Amino acid sequence: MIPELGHYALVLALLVALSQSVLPLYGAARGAGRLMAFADHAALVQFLLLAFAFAALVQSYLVSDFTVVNVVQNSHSMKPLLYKFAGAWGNHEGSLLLWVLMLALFGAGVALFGRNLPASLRARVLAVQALIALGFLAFMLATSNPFLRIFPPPLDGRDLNPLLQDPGLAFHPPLLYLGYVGFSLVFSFAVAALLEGKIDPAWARWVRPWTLIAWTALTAGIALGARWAYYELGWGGWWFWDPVENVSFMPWLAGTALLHCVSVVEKREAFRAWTVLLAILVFSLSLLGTFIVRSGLLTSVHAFAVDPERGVFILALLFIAIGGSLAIFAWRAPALAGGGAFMPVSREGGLLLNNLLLSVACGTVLFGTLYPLFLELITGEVVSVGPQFYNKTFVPLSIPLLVLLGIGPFLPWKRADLSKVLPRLLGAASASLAVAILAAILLGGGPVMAVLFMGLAAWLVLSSLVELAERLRLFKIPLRDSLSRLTGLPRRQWGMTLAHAGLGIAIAGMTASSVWKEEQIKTLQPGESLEIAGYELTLTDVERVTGPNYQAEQANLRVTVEGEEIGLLRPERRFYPVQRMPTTEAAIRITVLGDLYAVLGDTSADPRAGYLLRVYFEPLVIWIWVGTLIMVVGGVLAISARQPQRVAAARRASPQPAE
Amino acid sequence: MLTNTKRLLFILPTLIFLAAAVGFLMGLDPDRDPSAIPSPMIDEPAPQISLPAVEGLDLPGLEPELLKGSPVTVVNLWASWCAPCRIEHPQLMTLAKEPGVRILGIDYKDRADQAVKFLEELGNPFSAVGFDQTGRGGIDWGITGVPETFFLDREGRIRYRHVGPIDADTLENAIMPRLREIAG
Repeated sequence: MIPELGHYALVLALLVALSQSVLPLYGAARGAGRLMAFADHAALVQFLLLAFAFAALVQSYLVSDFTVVNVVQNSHSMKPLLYKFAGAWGNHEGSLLLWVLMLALFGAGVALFGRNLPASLRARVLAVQALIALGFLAFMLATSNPFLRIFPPPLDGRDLNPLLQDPGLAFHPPLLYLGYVGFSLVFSFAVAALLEGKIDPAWARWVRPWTLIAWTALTAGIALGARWAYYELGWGGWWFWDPVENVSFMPWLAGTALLHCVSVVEKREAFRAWTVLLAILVFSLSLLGTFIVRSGLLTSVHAFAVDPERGVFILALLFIAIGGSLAIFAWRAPALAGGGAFMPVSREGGLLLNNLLLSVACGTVLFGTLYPLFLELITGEVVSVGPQFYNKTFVPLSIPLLVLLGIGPFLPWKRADLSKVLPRLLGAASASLAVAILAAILLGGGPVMAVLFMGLAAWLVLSSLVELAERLRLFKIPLRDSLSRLTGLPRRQWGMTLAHAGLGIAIAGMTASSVWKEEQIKTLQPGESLEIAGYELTLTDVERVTGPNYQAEQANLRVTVEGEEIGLLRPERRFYPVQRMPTTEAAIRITVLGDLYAVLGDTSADPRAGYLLRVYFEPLVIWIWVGTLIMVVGGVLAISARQPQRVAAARRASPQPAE
Repeated sequence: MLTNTKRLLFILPTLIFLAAAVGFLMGLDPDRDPSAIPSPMIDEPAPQISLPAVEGLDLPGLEPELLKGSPVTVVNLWASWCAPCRIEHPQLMTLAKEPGVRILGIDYKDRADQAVKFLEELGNPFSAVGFDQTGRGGIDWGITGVPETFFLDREGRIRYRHVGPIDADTLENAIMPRLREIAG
């Protein structure tokens, strides 16, 4: 009964989406207030219907209703409760429902909190949002219905892919989707603005918080995904330039560019056509990601089960959404040219360069992701693009971006004088140089590029701190006055400082853990030991353990430093009988300076052969997670910032050195 | 007034997207298999190595001449300690009953008495088994783990490789069509 109700709710949501897209668009064109106002009610109803459908699916998972095909294919009665819950979106159909639910959530958000928007703009935004929902609901009902029944029901389910049985699954996809889908609203705002023919600072003020929400969620989602890969896949890495990782990274790069140029529209009314194009592209890249993950176009460890029919359907959706919006852009955007004039060296000029570099970086990732596909289609040659490609393109491209990132916040709008700005950064620059040299000495040399990036990481943190100190007029006025300025600092300002400094911390972690990683592979007998990075690991014994839905071999490794025991590492090798799949559970000892990471490899039944152990020492890995967390906190602070009008008033009250 | 070049600039994103969309549509061809990473071993002669017989097992060891001659020769790398091999075994027993198929085994990093017990318990699909105690054979065949299975044609060339256990479904839908293709 419950699955049928969920199914009906989906059908109703489809009908509501249809009317929510058609009536308000017509009303906005005719200036009919009632038709426009219909969008608000429809958006709320649609959210409630989809929330109900989603709850129905979760319920089917929680009670292990094996009359539902989706539950049979992805669940098992013995599965721990958390994974029954999270398993509802650990598959193609369920994740699609979550996707559409998020879409409706953002629509409802505009209906509830967008009261200050002009009626026609709000109606058009909600109508475009409903058009996207319409496409995806039709896709779901036609090819991917999560509520299909099966008869006769099997006794038990086929269980969830063991790699996905991880607490990260509960949070990683919802945050990622919150990011992807959040950009749908920015897209809707862009298309609505093109239809309205009006893009002004007010538009930018309305778009900015939604862009920030999407960006913050995407940042958190990507970081969680990297963390999941780090401890679950057992290779000791956190990023593999896999197509599915790339398709989440591209919207992030483009979204970061968007976040910066929206503020130019807000302050100076420049870059309007570019901002609208970027808003369309960010969501197009999100859609492209959805398409790639679900169509089997490219191969990836994360991809869902493949069905060519679904691929054609999503491609048709892509064609309408991206092709349609770009066509509207080609038609209406030429009227948007112009805006405030500025000199090349200025805040605007800096942000233009920022956007250019981020777009090119995003373009290289797109090229690397799609190149194998297009090469295969044209020449029939099969290749795969690995990290070497990105190390030679993306990594060098990010150097000027990171250098600029430290300078940008010091540049005033309209025109800047570099001879006045650069001396203020001299301290930060020389300190960064010192950090780079120190890193090279401490970590025992290394490639020039790695040392450079350690310096750049320090540069981001230090220049952000200098900028903050200047705002507080630290050491120029009494400390107490500086402190009172600290508490009075606008949250938006905090957002920028934290995001920039957090990125610096994360880059230090990324660089150190990729370049100065140590690795040991050794077959050990109980009682034998191996040494890595000053640690001595002794295999005491290996025992068999039984989990709720798996069996495992667990190695006990005693960790000692100079003979003194500091802990125990227990890597496991699990076997999930239902999915007939082995997984490794790495054991990780986390410290600020680096992680000790142990994996139990293939073992043979012959005790004489010993146990294969792979052990890594990964410097500064935790900095990646801390850095991204700081960026997310910055995003949250900026989202919670007061209304722009009041911020503007506060800005006038406190003189700021840079503006 | 906008110049034509400027107007073209605004149409450019649409044009680029359309070109990409055509590529995506072609990429959705159901005959395309994006996960087929070409193995350097495919269409190459199988490694010519000899491995001794498993002690206590009444079967010959592996010799290079055994890799040729049969319409299809299947080389399966397995071990008694490998749990997925246990799951795969019934499918090998089915394969062994196919006419024109010869199955050779390579017992990878195993103990002879355990291997004998494994085959006594689950049945023997192999006509010869090489004992690869050091794992040297596995390196020559370029395996990523056990089980792994290679399919050779009459000339002893590797025509297909399957990584991981062959379950009933894979046997029916992926392996059997390949066998017919290789046997010609």
